[in-house]
Amino acid sequence: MTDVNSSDRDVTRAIRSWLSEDWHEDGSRLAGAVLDRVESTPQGRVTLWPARRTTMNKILGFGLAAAAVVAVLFGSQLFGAPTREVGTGVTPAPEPPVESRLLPGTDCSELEAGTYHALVGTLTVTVTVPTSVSTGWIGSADESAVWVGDRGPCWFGGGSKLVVSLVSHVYTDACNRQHTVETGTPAAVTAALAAQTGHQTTGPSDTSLGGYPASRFEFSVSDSFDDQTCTGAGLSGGVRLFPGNGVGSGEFNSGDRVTVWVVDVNGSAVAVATIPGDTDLDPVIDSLRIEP
Amino acid sequence: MDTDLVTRAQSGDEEAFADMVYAVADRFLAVSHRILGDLGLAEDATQQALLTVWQDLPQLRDPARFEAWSFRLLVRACFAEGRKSRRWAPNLRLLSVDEPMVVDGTSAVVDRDQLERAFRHLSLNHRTVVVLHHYLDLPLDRVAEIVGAPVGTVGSRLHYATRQLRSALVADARPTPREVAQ
Repeated sequence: MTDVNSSDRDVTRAIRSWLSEDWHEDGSRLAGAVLDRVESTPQGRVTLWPARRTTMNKILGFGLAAAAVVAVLFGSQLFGAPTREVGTGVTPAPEPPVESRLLPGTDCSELEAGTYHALVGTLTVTVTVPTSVSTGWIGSADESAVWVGDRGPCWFGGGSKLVVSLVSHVYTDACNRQHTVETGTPAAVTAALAAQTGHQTTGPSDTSLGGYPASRFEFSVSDSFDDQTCTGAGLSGGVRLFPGNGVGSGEFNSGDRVTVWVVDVNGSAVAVATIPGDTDLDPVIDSLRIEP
Repeated sequence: MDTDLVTRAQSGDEEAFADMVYAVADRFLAVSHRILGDLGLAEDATQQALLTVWQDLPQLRDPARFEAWSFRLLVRACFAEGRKSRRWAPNLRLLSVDEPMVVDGTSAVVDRDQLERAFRHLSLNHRTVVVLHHYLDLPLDRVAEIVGAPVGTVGSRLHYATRQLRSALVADARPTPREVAQ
């Protein structure tokens, strides 16, 4: 076929020739088997969720929060049982829901649909992988970040992701990991991200997430920018917003447009980042709870 | 893929999905067979991928991106099958990738079996990139979109795979000590 004393080009040519040979497959037989199973396999419908993350008038927000508190108190007295305000953060419960599972602490953990929690610093982060997602969700947690995403196998990057990170420092330049500024408060993180270079920035705008006040940004890097030229980028390339492990650092690549909320959780600065892919992350974001 | 067909299948039209399946099944099976190197595993991966396509279609926001999205599901299914299987038992003598390519002045001819053995020695990650690029003829940016890695990473994987194949082929062609002794 070819002489192995020759170049990579010859090896490539041999591989192409070998791959293009007839491997005697019959896809039509498989197609029939798949279609037989389709009738009994429901499609995973995307649930429509109300947009809860729009910027809210503070008076209206306060009024709604007060109304929710009244409703909770009234409900407790009426039915004699405690209630949980999922996603509002009005009266955060100290423990995750009973049915939630501990998010695995290692990479490459495949997640079934369901609710997961993890301890990040002193905060309990709870997130739900929706039932509309059938396969391929993975996630992990360490001491400073939690992430879940639709991309499997785990060692591939990309895909839809939601990342929750504790932030104490912010890079001055997202493409240069040599200089950081210390950020002791959520306001300082917001200011540092607003001043950060190395990407295009929209924001910040005042909003709320999970019942906590938040500042919302959108960051992007153009497709044409080679993010492997960033200092310390390594093989995977990517710009990073703050120090951390992998995706926990708010890492994203050229062509991505990420949304980041800097959330003030009782004085702790928590960054919630979403990197869009094919999966609608809204249900996952809406399920997010951060509890001191 | 016809985006109208995709849109109809997204809304639960089984006839439209059937047309899609017959359009892609051969290609899916061919790709998974080459990535996994085992027809049985490839058939399982292809069936699983096609069923997942059906289940997850409503979540695909842009029907025009069906091809990349569906190949991504196929690659996932291949990895899932690959993890289940322990039938990977490469038995090659590897040389350093930097070892000189001249084998005792002998011109060794690579045959199909050598290539297959050498290919099986690569990781699934590397095989996937090689198949998508060299079999489907996809440019690196499309491969990157499917595997979800930066283009530079895909290029590195392809380069590494080529060097490993070259080294493995040389090692496979080199006579064993027993052969030398005889």
